[in-house]
This record gives sequence, structure tokens and C-alpha cells, in this order.
Amino acid sequence: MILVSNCAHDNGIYTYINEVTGLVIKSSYSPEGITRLEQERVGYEWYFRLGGLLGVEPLSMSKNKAGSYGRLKVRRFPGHSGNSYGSLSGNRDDLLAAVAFYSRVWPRLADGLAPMHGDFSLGNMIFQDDEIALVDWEHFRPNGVPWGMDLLNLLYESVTFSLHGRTKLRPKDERVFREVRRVIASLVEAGGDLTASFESLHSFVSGNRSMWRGFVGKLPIMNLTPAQRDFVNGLDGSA
Amino acid sequence: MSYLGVGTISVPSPVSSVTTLPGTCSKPGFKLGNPYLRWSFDGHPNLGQPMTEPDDLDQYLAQFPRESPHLYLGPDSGGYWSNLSKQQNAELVSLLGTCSTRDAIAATQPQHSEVIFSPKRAAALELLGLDGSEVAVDLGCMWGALTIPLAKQTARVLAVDQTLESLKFSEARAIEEDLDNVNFLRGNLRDLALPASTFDLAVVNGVLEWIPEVDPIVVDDYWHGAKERQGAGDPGEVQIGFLRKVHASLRQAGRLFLAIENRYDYKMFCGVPDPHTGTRFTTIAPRWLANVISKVRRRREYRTWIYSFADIRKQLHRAGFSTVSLYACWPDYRQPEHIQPYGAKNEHFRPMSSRRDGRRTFKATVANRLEWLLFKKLDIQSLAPSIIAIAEK
Repeated sequence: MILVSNCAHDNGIYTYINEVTGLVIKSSYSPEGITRLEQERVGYEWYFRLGGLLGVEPLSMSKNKAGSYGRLKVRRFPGHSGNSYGSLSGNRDDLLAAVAFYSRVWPRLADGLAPMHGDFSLGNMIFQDDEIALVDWEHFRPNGVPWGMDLLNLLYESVTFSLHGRTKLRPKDERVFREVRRVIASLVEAGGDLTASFESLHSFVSGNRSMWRGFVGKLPIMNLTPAQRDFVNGLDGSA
Repeated sequence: MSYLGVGTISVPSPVSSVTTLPGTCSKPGFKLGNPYLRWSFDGHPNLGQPMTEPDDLDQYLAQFPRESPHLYLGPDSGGYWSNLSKQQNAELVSLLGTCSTRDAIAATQPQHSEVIFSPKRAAALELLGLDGSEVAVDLGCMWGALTIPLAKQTARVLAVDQTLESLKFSEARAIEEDLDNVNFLRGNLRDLALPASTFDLAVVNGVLEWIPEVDPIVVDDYWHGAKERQGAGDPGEVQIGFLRKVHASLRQAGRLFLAIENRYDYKMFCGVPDPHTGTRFTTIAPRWLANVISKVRRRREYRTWIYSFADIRKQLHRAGFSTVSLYACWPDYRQPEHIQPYGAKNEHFRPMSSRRDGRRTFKATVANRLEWLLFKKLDIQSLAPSIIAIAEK
């Protein structure tokens, strides 16, 4: 048993890897943490069902009688996770692979709506052999979100980390931004009303804060300075 | 991972479900629901032995006067160990009837709020893979940082401490959390007789090093103050005596959870003060030299012995434990960020000195570089800050 995360972002959740059983074990004593684990189970269920592997992959959630302790067990995916803190240029291939993955598997429901992962970030993707496994489903929404919202989060989170405190992207990062944004725009703007821009992502998140259960402030894209935000809007306008 | 490319939605099979399991009882007067009904997590068949009959523990407690619904008074040794002075503790306890434990701490001792209430404190308990049937004893429970989570995950907990004020505080916490499967007992861990073959789990969290100290301790004074103190035998032998007693109190295959600082924590070589005595280099020096340093700086013997990984294993075997699993722990066992089996691959380790408060001070940067070198590059786990040992009877 290896403790890899202890209450990250004060979420009250302990994350262990059991190398012997190949499971990830997440547990919590806090009401908030237990709710998040239950939500994550729902997300994994949806995800496994999508792939036809519900019932094949290990997934279980147990609680004590009082509901004051919960433990989620789920298969640990082999491979290496993406680097969400990296720059756009450094992550170019992973970003394009993630966009391709999403467009290939993500179902479109009626009216251009779709389920949402809610934290669609390179750090929550496990890459192996040209395939991607998604983890950390605690912000999952089963429906009602414009198709492609996760892609916008992926792109603009990467922009946020590429800025790295500056108010401008480096030219090579800006080139990758334009390239990835073009692909995303062609996908999201084809079928629905969603525009591939930072402001459409920001206004959706701001208007649906409850979906993130009070952790909206922890989302990287919600932490741009006004100057950075102006710069990103300028990019969107000129792209 | 072939399914990742599949777009069709298949028929779900009902494999995952939320199971509600009896973990704590809810009857007044502290009777367990059905102690013989061992329940299991995740559908694993539970082939454990029948539980300790609750009467064993009740009989044991019956010999002591009852102070309050959950609190029993063992023999008063006059012992005292607290971060707070008696006066501060009295002030804290006087507030308990009028406000919540959190509010009481916020009003009187806000600097201790984190160490008492942080959910990070209980992270290491998951190493035990508890199934809810266990009868546990928390030896040196202090403010209940582990007692409260333990009670949520086991059938019953006995929490022992020599400081009555700490027990009253912990009892108030248990009542706030609607836990009625926990009892508190005032007693000195050196002298108190524990019931034989009763517990499935004993927790000794940051306590073993204090066992050889006799006189009352207010942590701050002990750290800074120079004062002659009464000794009580060879510290190592006193600790072994205590561990043997814990061993005898465990049932067959019962386990000890022991957390303690590593004597050879890399920081000790850098001149960081001993976390117990406030003196430099006393943990890494030979015991006789540590004694000399302590006598010069503190006018007292060096008694708060801590150990290396190899030595703690030896001590536990000497105390009678059959198997000992060691874990290395960063940045400390109180609020661990990373725990791994001692000697296992370090692929998940990341330097974490600056992680706690997130500030990038010069000191934190140096510490991070050093941790990266020692633990990521050179993989010298024997210099890890803290040790967690899980020893089986």
C-alpha cells in the first residue's frame, strides 16, 4: 500500500495504490469526501458501461453503517499519466491525442448535450499504447452539458499552466494553442451552440458552480488574472 | 484497454453497489449491536476468528470508577502530558459544556486546531485495511486525532491517556460525532494493567518515545526548559516493557500500529532540533553522547529514545511480535503526504518539504532539492523522516 495523496485540495480523501491487487483505494471520513467518492463511483460506472467493461473492471464502494466512512476501490490503469502542469508545446501530442479520444468516444445526447467528466485534464489521463484511460471522476455529470465542454477545459487549463504566471504565451506555445483550438473548434462548433472560447467555458463554470461542489476556485481556469484573461480573449478573437 | 475505442453502450451488469455495513453501534449505554456478526468490506469472505466478547472489555472497565458516560478513571499516577499547561487545559475543558470542541479550540488554542482536527491525521489507518469488526485500543490518545476515525471504522475503541483533560476533550468529540462505541480510560501507560488477549488492534501513535519519561510534561517547557527530572530505568528497557504489555493485550494475530520519528531522519544530520527535546544531534548521536548533550543543554538525561528502521524492527521482535511490516513516511507520520513500504520502489515519491504550506521559501527549496537527491535519486529510505510499523502478534 502506497499513500500517494492525502486530502489533496482539502477534499478529505486518502488515495492509496495497492501494488499487489492492482487497485486504487480512495477513502474518507468526511461527509464531503464521501459524497465525492460516491459521485466518482457513478462516473466510473458510466465510463465502464461506455466501454462495455462494467462488471469486468473492479469497482466497488462501501460505507460503514453510519455513513461516516467510505472506501472506493477501482482498477488502477497501467501507463503513465499526462503532465497537466506542462506547457502547450511540450504537451502538443498528448493534447491532440486527448481531443481525438474525446471526439471518438464521447456520446452526443439530444440537443447537442452530453455527459461531462468535469476535470478533463492531462493529469487525469493515463496514456498507454496510443490509448487513454480517464481517471478521477468525482465531478462527473451524466447529462445536460454542451458537448465539448471538457475539451475547452483541457485546452484552457493547458493555457493557464503555459502562462505560468506571465501575461503572454511564448510564441511556440501560441502556435500549439492555435493548432489545438482549431481542431476543437471544428468539433464543438459543428454540432452545437458552443463556441470554442475561454469566455464560453468560464461563463458555463461560473453559472454552474454547484457541479464542482465548492471546488470551483480550485479549477486552474478560474484563477487567471485579469491581464491573463484579456490576453486569452485576445487570442480567441484572433484565432 | 480495447474498450476505450468502443462507442456502443453495452448492457450494464450490477457489479458495483453501495453496501451499508454495520460499523458502529447506535444503542445507548454502550452495547454493541451484534458483536458476533463480523462484516466484511467489498464482499470478501471474512474468515477471522470470533470477536472478543464485549463483556471482556466491559468487565475490565468495571473495576474503575466512571467519571462520565464514556470515561473511566484508572489509578491516578499524577501523570500529565500535554501541549497545554494545566491552566490552559482547565480553560479549554471549562468551555466544552458551552460550545463545540472546534469552537473551544478556536477560542483558546487556535494554533492547535490543525493538528487536532485535520483529516490528514488519519490517512495512515488505511494501511490496516480494517473491516469494521475490530476491537481497538488507542494508547496515548491525546485529543483523539486517531480515536475518532478509528471508532468509525471498528466495532469498538478503548482510548487511554494519562491526561484527564485530553480525555474529556476527546470524549466531547466522540459525543459530537454520535460515536457510542468508544470508551476513555485515564491511566499511565507504564503502570496501567491492560486486559490480556483482548484487542485486535493497538495504536501507539507518537507515544513510544515518551514512555520512559516520568514527570509531568508540558511540551513547550520540555522543549525549551532545563530542569532536572526523575529517571525510571533504562529508556530502551522501559519501552520494551511497555511493548510486551501491549503484545500481551492483543488477541491471536492482533496487530500493533506504531508510528514514530526516524532516529536518522535526514534533517537530524542538518542540525534541525530533535522534535522531542529541542536539542540538536541528540537523535543521531550514540545514546551516551546524547546523554551528555542533554545534561549540558537541559540538565537531564536523554530519555525520549527513537529508533532507526532496523532497530525498531529488532525492538518489536524482542517484545514478542512475530512479523513486522515497516513503512517509510514523508514529511512526518502526523500528516503524511507519502507512505510506502520500506524498501519498495520509490516511483511515486515526490519531494514535499514545500508542499505543506505551499510557500517557496529558500529553506523549502533547499530541502526539496535535498529530498529529491536523497530519496528520488539515491533512494536512501533509511533517512526518511518517520516510521510506521505494523507488527503482528
